[in-house]
Amino acid sequence: MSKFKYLKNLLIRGKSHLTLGFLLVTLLLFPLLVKSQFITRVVINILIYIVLASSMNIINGFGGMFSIGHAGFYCVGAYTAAILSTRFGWSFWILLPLSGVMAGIVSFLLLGFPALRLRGLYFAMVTLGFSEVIRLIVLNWITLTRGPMGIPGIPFPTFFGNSIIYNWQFYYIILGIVVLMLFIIRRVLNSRIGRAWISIREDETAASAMGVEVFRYRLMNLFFATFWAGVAGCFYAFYARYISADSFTLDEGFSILAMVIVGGQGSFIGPILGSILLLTLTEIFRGIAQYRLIVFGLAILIVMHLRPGGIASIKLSNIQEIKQKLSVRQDK
Amino acid sequence: MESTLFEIKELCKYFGGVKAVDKVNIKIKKGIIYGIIGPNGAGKSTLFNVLTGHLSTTSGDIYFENKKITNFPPHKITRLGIARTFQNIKLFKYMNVLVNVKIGFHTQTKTNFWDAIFHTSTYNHDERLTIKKGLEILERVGLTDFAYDYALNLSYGVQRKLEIARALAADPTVLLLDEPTAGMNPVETNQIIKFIRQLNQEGLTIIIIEHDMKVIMNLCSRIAVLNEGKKICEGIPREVQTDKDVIEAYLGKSNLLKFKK
Amino acid sequence: MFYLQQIINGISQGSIYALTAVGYAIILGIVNIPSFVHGDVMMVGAFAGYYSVLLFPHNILLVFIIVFAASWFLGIIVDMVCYKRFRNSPRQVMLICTVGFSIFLKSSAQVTFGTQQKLIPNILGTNFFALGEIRITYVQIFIVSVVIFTVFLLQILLFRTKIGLSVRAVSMHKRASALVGINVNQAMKFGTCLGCALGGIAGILLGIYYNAVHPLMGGNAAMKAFISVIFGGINIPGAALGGLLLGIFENMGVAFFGSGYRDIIGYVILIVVLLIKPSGLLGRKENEIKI
Repeated sequence: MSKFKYLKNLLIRGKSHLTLGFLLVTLLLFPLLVKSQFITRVVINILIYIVLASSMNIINGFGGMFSIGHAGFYCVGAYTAAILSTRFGWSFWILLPLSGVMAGIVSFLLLGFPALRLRGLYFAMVTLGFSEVIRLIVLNWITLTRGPMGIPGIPFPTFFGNSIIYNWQFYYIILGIVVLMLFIIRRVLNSRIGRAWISIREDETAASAMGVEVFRYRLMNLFFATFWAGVAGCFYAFYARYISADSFTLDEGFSILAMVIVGGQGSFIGPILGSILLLTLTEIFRGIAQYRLIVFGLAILIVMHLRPGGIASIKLSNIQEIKQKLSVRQDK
Repeated sequence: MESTLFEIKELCKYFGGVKAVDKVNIKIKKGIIYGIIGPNGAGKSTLFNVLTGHLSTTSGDIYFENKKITNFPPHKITRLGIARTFQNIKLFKYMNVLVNVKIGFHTQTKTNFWDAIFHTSTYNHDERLTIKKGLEILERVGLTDFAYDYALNLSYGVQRKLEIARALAADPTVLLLDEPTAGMNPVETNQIIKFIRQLNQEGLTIIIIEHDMKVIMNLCSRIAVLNEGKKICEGIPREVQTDKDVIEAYLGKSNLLKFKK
Repeated sequence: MFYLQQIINGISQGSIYALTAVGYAIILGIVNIPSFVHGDVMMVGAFAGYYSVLLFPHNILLVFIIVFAASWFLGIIVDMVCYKRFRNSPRQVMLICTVGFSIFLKSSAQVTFGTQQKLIPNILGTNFFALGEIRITYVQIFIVSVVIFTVFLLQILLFRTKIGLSVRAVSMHKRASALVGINVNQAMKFGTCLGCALGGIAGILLGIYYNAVHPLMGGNAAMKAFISVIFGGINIPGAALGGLLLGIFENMGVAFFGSGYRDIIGYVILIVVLLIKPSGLLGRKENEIKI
């Protein structure tokens, strides 16, 4: 590689590190910069959906499966946290990973064993069906979940004896969760496990021929993904302090899917971009929930027709186009 | 003393009424290059798919190093040291060449979730191994210059070499090649012939399905001929060339069987 | 006696499920294309039927013709939006498009028609036959007749006409069909429209059976169709059988356990079938369920 290329690479990497650093600092200082509680709540909401969309992307974008039923696992996480905290006083911090594990276990039982023989549409329909099953169970198992009345009075989390009450505190918690999650996801994707998942996604037959045990890795993928949905559920339960089955309808699953697709399924930043874009749009056009879903549905169609790789793919090809234009100019 | 590496006993694979593989018996000795030929639809690829566990057997057994491996799943077969390439190339098109080979090291590495998250010594060892040995294999195959190109952009001949490279990553003792020279020009074909011979000299047993008679006659010390699912002949190249049934099976392609060096 | 009544109720409900499942099976099995939008097609058909009934309350035949035409037309739109461009793309692209379109249709319907259900006036009256203690309503007879008639027409269309032959040929081998001169795009479009039209008819039948239409009725209906197809197999007789049995099991289950458990019965059947024989009752074992 020529010296010029080497320097250019360094510059690009340096620039991306700089922007990342700048972003991180902004995020850390956010509550100090913005005092509006409304905006803080919007940002917290976006961060929750970043967790949900990124976790769904693990299945849809890296697992070679297509799931629409993520709401169900979000629900499992939220209800695990709500029940264990209101009835047994368990701590928020323990419930975070525990809710994730619960969601993972449910995914094993409902999806892992019955559904993993299916592909594509059939698997998707089953995820949808089971998401509904979870919601129906929650609605009808009144002794456990209080049914349609929901679970109110979820306590405030405590941190070394202090109650966590303010939005800015919840903001830092969810920010921490997001950063931790992205860090862990990135490390797992850039490892043998991530490569095995990608091989399954690209060509199952070839993957198995290379020694990848497809079934086992699919199970791992489901568990890892639904774990984070459960964690998001736990956070949501403590943040909203009241949950009911209404927050976990199929529309949730559709919304999360839209964020993944629009942002770019199969890319790391795709779900982040998708969540930010679609939720910001929702806030700008604050209408009835139904209008929001019309926009989401249209957004999916538009993305599929114009740029199936989502927003994330725009960046790459733009860079390449710019590179080409630059190199042409140099030759002249 | 050469030992039997593969033994295929009375293997049958039927798809409803279609007898794709019909009571095939083959013994393959360790260290040789064994050829499987036959007209289109003779059942050669199906045989491979059954051997590697991608298809289940209807009846019959397969023995590898005298152990029964009938109906083992594909990943288990690979772990035993049996690697393969595919007739229709199954590369990971949207990944670069090096990553394609890296994935091939799956059976040689052990990183689990914990290792990946905390970048333990196992993780570091595995990552270094996949890169170092990956580049080594690419050099062996002559693809070092293409290491960071997307597999989708490669020429056909290069793609086939990459498939072989990926199979080698699993550190196999047996390599099953399904029409490795299909679509290659004569120069590339010669390169592959040399490469396969070299791999064999390094100790790899090779089973090769081919239509190109030049390749088969040049490389193989023993050949089996399949037709309509049945084995109709087996022996050294000269025997197979002059066998009446074989010539009849190919009907009119008899001039291709002339021994060409 | 009570159980016999339940079985009869089950047959009439099951026949609607059967029709929804058959339309679904045509699209999934014969055209061999993933569709997430079938439920919403049924919903559109139901609403088309609703408005037709309001406009032409005494002309049932006209109502059904309008519903058929409207759903066929919707099929053309579905083909244009979700399938046409993507015939040679990975299948997941089509699947995602149908998901997007489904979300769009559902929400647009809610905005246009409101979120309350609309009641369809009972155009067939509430008369019934009585055989001892068993009641068979005219509505039930009507529904079963329509379904039988439709499936019969379908068999003729698919197996005795040229276009039916092309659709079936394309489902088996696209390229071979193209090589013998079949217009693949047209055949697939026809199959899609046919499946959607059947869906629309099933939708209005559902509306008649429950006396109501609702913008979100599609989701539930599609899930029932899906379960029927998995239960019975991804072919026309299998889908019909699956739908019929699902209706019967549901009604029997509701009789034993109460109406809150209706939907859960379907899901239990789904899990059991998936664990034991994923290809369904009449499905071929070799038929791997792909996208």
